Amino acid sequence: MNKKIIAIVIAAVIAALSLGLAGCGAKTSPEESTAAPEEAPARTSFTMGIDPEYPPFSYLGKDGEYTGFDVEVCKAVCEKLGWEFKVFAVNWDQKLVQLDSNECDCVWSGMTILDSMKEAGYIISRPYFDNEQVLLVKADSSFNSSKDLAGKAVAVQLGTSGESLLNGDLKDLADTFSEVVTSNSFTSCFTELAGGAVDAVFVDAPVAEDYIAKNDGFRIIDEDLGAEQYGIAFRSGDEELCAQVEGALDAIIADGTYAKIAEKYPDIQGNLLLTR
Amino acid sequence: MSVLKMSNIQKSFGDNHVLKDISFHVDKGEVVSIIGPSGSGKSTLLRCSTFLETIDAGTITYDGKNAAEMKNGKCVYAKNLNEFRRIFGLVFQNFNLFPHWTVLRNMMDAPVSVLRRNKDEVREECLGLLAKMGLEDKANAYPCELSGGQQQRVSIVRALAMNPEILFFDEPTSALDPELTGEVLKVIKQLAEEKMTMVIVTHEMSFARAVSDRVIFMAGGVIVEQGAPEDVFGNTQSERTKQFLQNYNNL
Amino acid sequence: MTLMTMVMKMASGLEKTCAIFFLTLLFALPLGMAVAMMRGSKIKPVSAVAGFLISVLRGTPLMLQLIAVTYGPYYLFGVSVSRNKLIPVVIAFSINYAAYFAEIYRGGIESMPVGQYEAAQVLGYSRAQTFLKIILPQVIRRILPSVTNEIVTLVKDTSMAFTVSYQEMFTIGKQIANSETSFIPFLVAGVFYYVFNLIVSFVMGKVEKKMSYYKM
Repeated sequence: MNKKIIAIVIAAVIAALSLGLAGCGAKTSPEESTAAPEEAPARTSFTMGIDPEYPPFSYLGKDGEYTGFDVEVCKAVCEKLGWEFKVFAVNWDQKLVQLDSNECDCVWSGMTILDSMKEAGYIISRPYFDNEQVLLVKADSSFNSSKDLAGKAVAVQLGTSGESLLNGDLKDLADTFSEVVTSNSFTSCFTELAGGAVDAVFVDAPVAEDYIAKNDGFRIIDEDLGAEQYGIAFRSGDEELCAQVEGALDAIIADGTYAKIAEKYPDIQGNLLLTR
Repeated sequence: MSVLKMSNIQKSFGDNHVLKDISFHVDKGEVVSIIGPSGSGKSTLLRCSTFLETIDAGTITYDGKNAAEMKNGKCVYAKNLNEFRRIFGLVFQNFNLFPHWTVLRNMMDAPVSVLRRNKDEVREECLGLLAKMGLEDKANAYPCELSGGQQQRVSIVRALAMNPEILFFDEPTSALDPELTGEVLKVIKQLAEEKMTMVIVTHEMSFARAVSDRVIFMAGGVIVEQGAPEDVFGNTQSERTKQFLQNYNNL
Repeated sequence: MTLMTMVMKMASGLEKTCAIFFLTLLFALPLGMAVAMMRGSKIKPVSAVAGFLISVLRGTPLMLQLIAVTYGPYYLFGVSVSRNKLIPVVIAFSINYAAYFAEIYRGGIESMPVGQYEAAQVLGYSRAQTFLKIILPQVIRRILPSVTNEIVTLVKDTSMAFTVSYQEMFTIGKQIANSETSFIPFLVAGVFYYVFNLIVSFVMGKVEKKMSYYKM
């Protein structure tokens, strides 16, 4: 009862605050729109937004530079278009906000295409990768299906499609877990698993495979829990930029650069869509 | 027998030799005033006799028992100093009352929690002392609510509540406004009439002359002259003392 | 998701936020005193160790300490990561805040006039009695404003438990913000912290008033 009253009071304060914010927004927008019509200068650089802990698509290489399949492809695209290539590591659960605030020009980092993104007006490229969500467990554990994890703790990265699934289509499954632990990176999810704080990590298949390849003692539960596709997200209104990037992608596929990059990542090669 | 006997006391702060071979004694019921210029070592002497400073050499004897003595050329203090502390009380220049306690608690706490005396008995005694000092209406006041003179009177009764055999005063009126010194001096005088053994470090010459049985004049870390007040003030022997008293009279 | 549901959902995490807050105070306040005593110890090595600990705990980010306490034992010794994250979180918060409290206590103790010690000594109080009956009560009064500052900071710092995947109020807020692509949960969190601190300030104000029956 008391909780409810507090909730109502807080809700009222929030409502008032948001109205205030909206009012401020209304005041400033006309100035922006008058500035916009001027001809945009030709693009000289391109900043890709990545999750810096998302191998093999994007991660910090041994040389201290960001690398990964997505990073290398984007680099090739920039070369093709004559743009200076830049990388910006986003906070994954804030990636779209950071895109909107111009901290990067796209989010391109093994990003699952969600309907909510399109509904919110973001421009999404053609899908380039078939992904599925899997459960990563310790090799010596007795878990063989998602049902075996009833009453167990499962970790997931905040802001990933896996987290969305557990809150949406897979809510019934998630409810059988004792706890869903949301971490801010997959690295910490894996640490939780290795350290025994959770029993499984709900994660994109290529990331799980990459982890198994680099670390002993883990396996994937053979069960398809959600098929999805990766794409590149651009700001609303950036149709032209999206088309430019897609055009350049076609060009590097045609000249064989794309295939050469893909060869370095054998684990994911089978699921690449653009070269099919 | 002397209540306090200090012999051959030496004390240095670094290179500063503050007390150079001081010897004196205080008999029961005697009032001794220590006068002298600033930096003469009189306050340090008082702090040494109350163990607030440790002496480098010499002997401190209370009631015939040694609190500090020389052993193999080194000055050694007794293990049970707290038992010696029951013999004396000290009234500070800055009162040093405990500000978070009422007047009554300031007086009662040490007899109860240090001497382990009965609380009701101590309360009766303390209220009696306060009444004697004309402070009975201040029993539940906090020190910050009192004037400087009242605070110093409270600090005197706090010391008296421990029933000391000897009471030390370290310039008890120096931190007071001139119009407030009278009430404090009156209390000390009253104690003298009751034959309380006292050692008073003071700059109040006429007071020292009036109240003391014996006056000690210190300068440069030594006792220059001592004797009955009429001798020291009226028939001064040493040039140094004469000069000091003259400076005072010229003020 | 309606605003009401959002607020209710985040309120459910508030319990864990409060757990961090109260347990940290419960352990850090006395632990800080112990560290302050070590720091002020006449035994040189003890004081040096305490000084070093304080400087490390104050000189490194709380976030790093949270990670070190939670995952450090696993990486270093292969000890399992605790399933109940409240334990490492409270340990990390407690030692971090103990370091800050220790410095506050030390400042308070050092600010006490030497005359208070001397008066107690002449009256025959033991060292423990002097500290507990005479010095400490006055020190508490003196340091209360600084302690209030730290407590207000602690309320806000609880959000850092997210670093080690502890599902407190702010973590839940971030989850909602992400799934709803909405900024509102952050506003809700802001209001929660603000109200929490209003209560803290109110309570501490009362305590300060209660203790100011005398002037220093």
